Amino acid sequence: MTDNTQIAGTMKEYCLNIAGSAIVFESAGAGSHLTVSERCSGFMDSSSGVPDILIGVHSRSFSLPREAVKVFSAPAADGINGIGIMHSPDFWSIWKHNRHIFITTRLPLGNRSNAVLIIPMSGAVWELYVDSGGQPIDPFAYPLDGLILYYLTVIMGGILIHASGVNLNGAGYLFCGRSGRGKTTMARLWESCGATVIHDDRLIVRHTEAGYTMFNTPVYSGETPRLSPLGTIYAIEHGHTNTASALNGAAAATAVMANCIQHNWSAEIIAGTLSTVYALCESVCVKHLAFVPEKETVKYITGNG
Amino acid sequence: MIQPASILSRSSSAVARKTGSEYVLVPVASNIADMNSVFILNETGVFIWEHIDGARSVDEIIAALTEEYDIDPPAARNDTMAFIESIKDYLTVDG
Repeated sequence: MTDNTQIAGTMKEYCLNIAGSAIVFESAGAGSHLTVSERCSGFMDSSSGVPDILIGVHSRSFSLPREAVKVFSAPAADGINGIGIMHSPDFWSIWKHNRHIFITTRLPLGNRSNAVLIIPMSGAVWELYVDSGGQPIDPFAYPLDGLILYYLTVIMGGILIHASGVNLNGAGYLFCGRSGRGKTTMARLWESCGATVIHDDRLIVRHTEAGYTMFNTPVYSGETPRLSPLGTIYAIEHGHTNTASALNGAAAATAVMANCIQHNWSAEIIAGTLSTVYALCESVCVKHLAFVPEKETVKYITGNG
Repeated sequence: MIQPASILSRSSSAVARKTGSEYVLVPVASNIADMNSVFILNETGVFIWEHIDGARSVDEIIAALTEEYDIDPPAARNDTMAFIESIKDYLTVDG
């Protein structure tokens, strides 16, 4: 569950460093002030390097160009942190016009403002319009956080994946699977064996100078940036015994792809994600794993299971 | 309705990626709910997919499959029609 508690005070500008990418939020008007949620405070970056993305934040509404075409939509979820949000087939929608993507949503938490995020197909300056009624704006509020991270990750040539990731003695293991397949269970098992949990829900994986690396993303309060080299990816499910088998080629790619967050409205985006996933699967071992929720499973895997 | 004489083309509503002898087919989607279909084409599927070229008819594809794999025509027709049915959303049909 996304934590939306805000830290005290407002700012005109701040930077979050997530998965090695610097995202600068900058108030674009005299009347708009920015806030940051507690879950993101550990990711704030005070260094003054060149941002990967600069997001100008405007405290007013924005009307889509009349020619914009809706290309993708997502229905409303049932609720966040116990707070019900309206059921709608268009919790957020993606529109396209010329060389820009427009993402419209209504923020379900806080003052429930309408928001429009504008992403150019090329260029590192994005714009965010929030009709906050003069209230301070959290530009990384749900669902903007996931949307910003998704498109940033696509641009950076990585993947945003539902998975848990752990590091034990310098080796990184990533466990992906649909809800209920045991991602959180696996993270707790490894934690009890002394591993560092990079994250138990949502990770960014991308190639760095050090090879394929997994990074946590801000979901829970009190988190700070964590990363680990990535050695093996497991597509997991509960089983009666521990059984692992290697996946190759298309089977490996689709096992990973099935757990990636994807907005497949564009053939260009799909082709990019496929290339990223295939390159990942050529460098990192991918296995199917049926497992039992016992500490022995950690020994089974570290023993090359 | 796809007929034996229909000419099939691959539409732009799916992206195919070939690696070695395998294809992964990912549909273009307009909604998160539509994104659960990723196809891995088996050997026969790859053969048929590669023969869907906007020039050959369904009957010609069946004949090619019959010859390539030395299987009887009724089995080739069943395999081809079942495969085409499963991916018809990603094809355009002429005739």
